[in-house]
Amino acid sequence: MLFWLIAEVIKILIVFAGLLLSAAYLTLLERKIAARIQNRMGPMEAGFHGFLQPIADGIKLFFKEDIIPSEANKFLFILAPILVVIPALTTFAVIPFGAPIKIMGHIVPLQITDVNVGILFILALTSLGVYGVVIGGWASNSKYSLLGGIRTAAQMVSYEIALVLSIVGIIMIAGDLSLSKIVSEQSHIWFVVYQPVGFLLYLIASTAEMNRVPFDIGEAEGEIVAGFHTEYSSMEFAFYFIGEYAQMVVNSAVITTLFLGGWQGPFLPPVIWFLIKVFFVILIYLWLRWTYPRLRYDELMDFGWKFLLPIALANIIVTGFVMVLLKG
Amino acid sequence: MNTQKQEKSILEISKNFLIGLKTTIKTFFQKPVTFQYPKEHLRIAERFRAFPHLNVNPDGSLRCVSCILCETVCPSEAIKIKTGYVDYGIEHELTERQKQNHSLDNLNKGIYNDGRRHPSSFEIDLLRCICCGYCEEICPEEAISLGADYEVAFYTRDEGIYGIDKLIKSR
Repeated sequence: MLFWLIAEVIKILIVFAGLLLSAAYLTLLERKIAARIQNRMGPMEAGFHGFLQPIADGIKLFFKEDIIPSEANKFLFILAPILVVIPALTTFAVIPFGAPIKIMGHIVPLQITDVNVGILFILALTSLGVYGVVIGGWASNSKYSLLGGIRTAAQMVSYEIALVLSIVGIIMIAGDLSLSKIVSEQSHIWFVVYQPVGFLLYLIASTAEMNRVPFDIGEAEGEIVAGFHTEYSSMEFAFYFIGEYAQMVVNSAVITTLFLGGWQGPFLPPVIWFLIKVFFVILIYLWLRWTYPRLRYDELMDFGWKFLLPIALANIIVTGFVMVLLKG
Repeated sequence: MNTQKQEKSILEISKNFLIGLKTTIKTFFQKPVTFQYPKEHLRIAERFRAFPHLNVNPDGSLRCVSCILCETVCPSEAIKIKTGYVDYGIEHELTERQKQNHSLDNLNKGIYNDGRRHPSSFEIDLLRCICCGYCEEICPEEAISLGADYEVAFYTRDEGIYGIDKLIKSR
């Protein structure tokens, strides 16, 4: 019993620290990749090739003045960034990041908890992130923040549907909602082969879900200053940032688990495979971000409702037909 | 004006999306065009000319004879010259020709000079200078010429006024 407790706590600490660290270094990766895509060099001053930049940024943000607008709702204003970070970090709890390992005769699964409705857990928590954005936008008492919050809410609601429907194909093939089962189902062939359309849909919808650039109308800096975090400064702003990037890591991990075979892979240890796949999915996200311009608001809604949703539905129907045909 | 949205087929749209991705991945693997400026420098052209500086003779004496032509020609009035002379001191070895020149002797007795006037102060306000090169063009002694030093920065306006020492030192 004690062993389980200690193993569990150690796993949680590793995941927590890893997520926070990767979220911090993702900012550097993002800046570096943006720089390379724009033929620049990116941060080069702090440490070797700017390697200490995230730490310098963190220290700077930590010591900055914490400004709360005079008419803001103080409680909600401080609560909102926390509401963004916590769901983003918690989502990782159900993702298996390695094959079960044996320690002192016990088999320890490399997954914080194996919920048998893992997918639903992920979907529920990723939608919770909207609350942080909307509450933050409302509590700042600023027109830009409010507009950003409302836009984000509308966008997330519409893309949530496509996001959920794109996973249904996976659930049908795997026949299970537990993520560890889904990973073990992919030992022969990755689900991206069966569900290429679902993969693309999930990639697009999750980009919208994370408020990243082709769909970042919630913080469109050309239109509404910085959207929902216009009024935020210091650590609260950093929390929004951490939440955003942690969500990106988590979404990449979800894609890896659902479509790219999770930790499965030859030769290398499972954890390394998992990290490599997550890294490549993150690279795809960054690549998308620095390629495409922001969608206009009506285009975004059109795209979500008139394009992604029908395709997601068609994908489910086709998957069902093929499954029935193959069985019979 | 036709305000209707231009409808394009999904195939064409996705093709354009892929073209965009291809463009960015291509630039990703290119060499950056920027460089770390204070550490690295752009290789400037050999004929590049920036701010004026003063030339000196091989023995270190000023070439300038304070004729004030440059001050006169300067379109932005950046040059201020005060005429004076240089006392070389008793140890300094003057050439025969310089010894023969007595044009400054009635100024002060016992001066060891080369018989020419020299600027006692020669100031160029680099904030006024427009690097036109007129001073270099007009100088009969080749005492002033434009150098390649374009990295001049100061904290106050007074620092922008370069005296003789700074003008000799700058490239």
